[in-house]
Amino acid sequence: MTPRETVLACLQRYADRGIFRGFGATATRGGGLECRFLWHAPEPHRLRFERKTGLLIFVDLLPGIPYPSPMDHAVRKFVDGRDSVILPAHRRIDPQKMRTRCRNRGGKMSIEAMCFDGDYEYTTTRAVKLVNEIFLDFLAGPYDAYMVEHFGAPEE
Amino acid sequence: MSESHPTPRPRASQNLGDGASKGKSVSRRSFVATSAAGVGAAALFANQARAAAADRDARPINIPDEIPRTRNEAPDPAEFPMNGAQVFARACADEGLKALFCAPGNYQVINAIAAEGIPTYGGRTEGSMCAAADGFVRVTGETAACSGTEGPGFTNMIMNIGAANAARTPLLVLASNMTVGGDDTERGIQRGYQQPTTVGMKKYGKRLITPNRVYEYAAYAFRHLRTGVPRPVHLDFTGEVARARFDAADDLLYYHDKSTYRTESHPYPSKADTAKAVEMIQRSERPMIVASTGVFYDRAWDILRTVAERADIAVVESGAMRGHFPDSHPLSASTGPDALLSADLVIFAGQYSMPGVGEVAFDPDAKIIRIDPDAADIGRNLPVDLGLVASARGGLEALAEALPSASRPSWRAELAAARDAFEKQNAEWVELGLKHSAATDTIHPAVIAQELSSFLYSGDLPKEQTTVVSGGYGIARYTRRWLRAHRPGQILNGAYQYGAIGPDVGYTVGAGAAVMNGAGPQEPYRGSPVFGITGDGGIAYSGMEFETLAKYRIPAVMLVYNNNAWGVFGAARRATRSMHMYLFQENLRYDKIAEGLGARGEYVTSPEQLREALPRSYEMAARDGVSTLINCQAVKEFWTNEYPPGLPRKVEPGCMAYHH
Repeated sequence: MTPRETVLACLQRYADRGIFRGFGATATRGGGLECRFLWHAPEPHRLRFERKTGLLIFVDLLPGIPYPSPMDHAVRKFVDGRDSVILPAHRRIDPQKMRTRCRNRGGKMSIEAMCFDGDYEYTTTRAVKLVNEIFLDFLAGPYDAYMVEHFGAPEE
Repeated sequence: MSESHPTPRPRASQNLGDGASKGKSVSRRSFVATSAAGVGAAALFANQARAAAADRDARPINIPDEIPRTRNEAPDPAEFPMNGAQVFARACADEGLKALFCAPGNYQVINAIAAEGIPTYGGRTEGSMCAAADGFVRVTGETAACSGTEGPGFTNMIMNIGAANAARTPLLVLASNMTVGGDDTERGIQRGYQQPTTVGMKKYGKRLITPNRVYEYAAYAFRHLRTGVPRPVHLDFTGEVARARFDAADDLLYYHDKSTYRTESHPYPSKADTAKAVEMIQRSERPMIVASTGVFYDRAWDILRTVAERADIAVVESGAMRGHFPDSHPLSASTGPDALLSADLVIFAGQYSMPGVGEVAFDPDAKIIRIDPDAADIGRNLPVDLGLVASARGGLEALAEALPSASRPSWRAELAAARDAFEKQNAEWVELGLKHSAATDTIHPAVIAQELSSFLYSGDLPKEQTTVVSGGYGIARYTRRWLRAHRPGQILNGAYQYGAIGPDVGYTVGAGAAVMNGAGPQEPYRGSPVFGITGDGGIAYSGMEFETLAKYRIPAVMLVYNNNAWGVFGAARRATRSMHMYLFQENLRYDKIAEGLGARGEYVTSPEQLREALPRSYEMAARDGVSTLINCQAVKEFWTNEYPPGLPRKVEPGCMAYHH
């Protein structure tokens, strides 16, 4: 399988299991992929795969985070900490296989995952788990007003 | 009866006419404003003088003799000839209805139920009494009823019928409803069709119009209440039915023993599905059971424990009550939210209010098994890998029979680490809370939660003794993190699913009555005081029921988190001309209201005062049956980023869960 096919198959499994809804994928030039699906937000997530760089990018995943700001710092710290030995092995990102990074453009944070060893299934799965943990763990902390304002979370 | 308490320290916003007194330059506008404030202050002082005079002349609040005397009268069950209300009451007694909470109205029915010897309670509003019945059921698993009069009495119950429905409470809702003969005439008052009003809020409902089918419809009601997925049942009684006369049993079209009109059997999963579930559990490294409302109503806590311990399966609670799996158990994940994302197999048992994807903190690759008696509900919201059509009890019993022993020491270790991490975060927030308390001369909610927890679980009281009604809005974001459940029915999850914040005192009346009577799993704790938690938004809806607590000497201690605002005031922060709609007067004295209703009041503005008030209030409740409202003064700004962690969000399932 090509890297694009591997990434697509991996994402399609989540769609088939009902985790992603409204999943759509478009092949892009150079063996890349552009996907949209509903999951943790009322608007579709955008996931881009760039074959040339080996990057999987959740594009503009977290809006409304100024740079620099305490929240920007906290997101980066959380993402960087996903390869910490403090985490159980099954939750830990293997830094030999992939690297994660946050990018803030105009207050919109994207999450990037770069595959090092050609194991795109691992990188795709871990990137998906990372985003899941951002919403269900990190944002479950003191970010009530943020979730209400930017993700339509109920006031109640 | 009232305890002396510290005089509240004045706050800047109370100092009327402050600007003038400091000799500032006075504009015409500020002069007018200041003058008006001065007039207001004079009026306030005059009022206080009048109040002091009235206090001198006040007569003591008294429980009239008729209340204990009539409650202690011997039951007088009806014999034929009976009226329709008596036939219905007989069915309730046969079914073991454990309590009725009402405001007067539906007179024949409530009088007949009382005469049968079923414990009855009369409160101040039908709505709160509906919540009381719901609260009774949620901490006992027994069936209780609420009742109100036709028209306004019935419609007063609506919010709390909705809450009971969302919580899947087997609640019997009764109301009178004029006569069939007068339908559509508007003759007299209080006419209205009730059944359309409860559409979407009940499992079954019926307007009773055929007198000789009254027992049959009682059977319909209890069949629905006692089988399958519970929800409220609503019966409205026309005068023709309640007052009908029956000389003998054969005047009724249907008069049988309950063994003939319903079953005690539980739906059981197929062998093939059970085998698949066992295989999935055996393949799993980190399995977890979500034990919810159905486990409690099926009284399946022992079999749940057997299954969990057999194969080292973690258990996390959710639902309208907690305690069917103790938080202190080494396999509990209820206070270890970090562990949820590690589960690779999740088994939902008795989870009737089903979350969707993203509402529960599980890994997207976790396999899902759902055990539910309603096949049509399996797969709703959350996709499943396997559905077991079974009651929570049936499904767990089948697993207990088929599941081989297994040991998962690393999973146990991870659960322990997750619980430790949670406690560490709680402790860090208390440190912040202590600083915020000192800075504002009030009590931060993290500190309130920690003080309450310390009193309930780390002091002289047995940790499993006290039943707690966990209510409120913002305060609950903290107290849920600190409340611990050690046995079935120990915590009532007030806002569960419907998010009603008002019924909390009503729930406390019901939970208190349940403990006072030793109903269901509350039996070992009979007579112990209960605790309730609410906010200054919630207290307005059911605060008058402090009179009901006092009248029946139901021992309770209620914490009211008073931050001078609706918890959702943040919605007005960027709006124009809005904030006033979200705010109350500051430093209101809800404790004084409780005192005026025959209970005690305490007003606390520091952690030390709360620490002293808790044992003092508990002792009064335990010794004399006197309830206390502890008014905990805070500031609304605790919900902002100015005072981290502000208004923390939650992780579901587990001790913080209230959506599902």
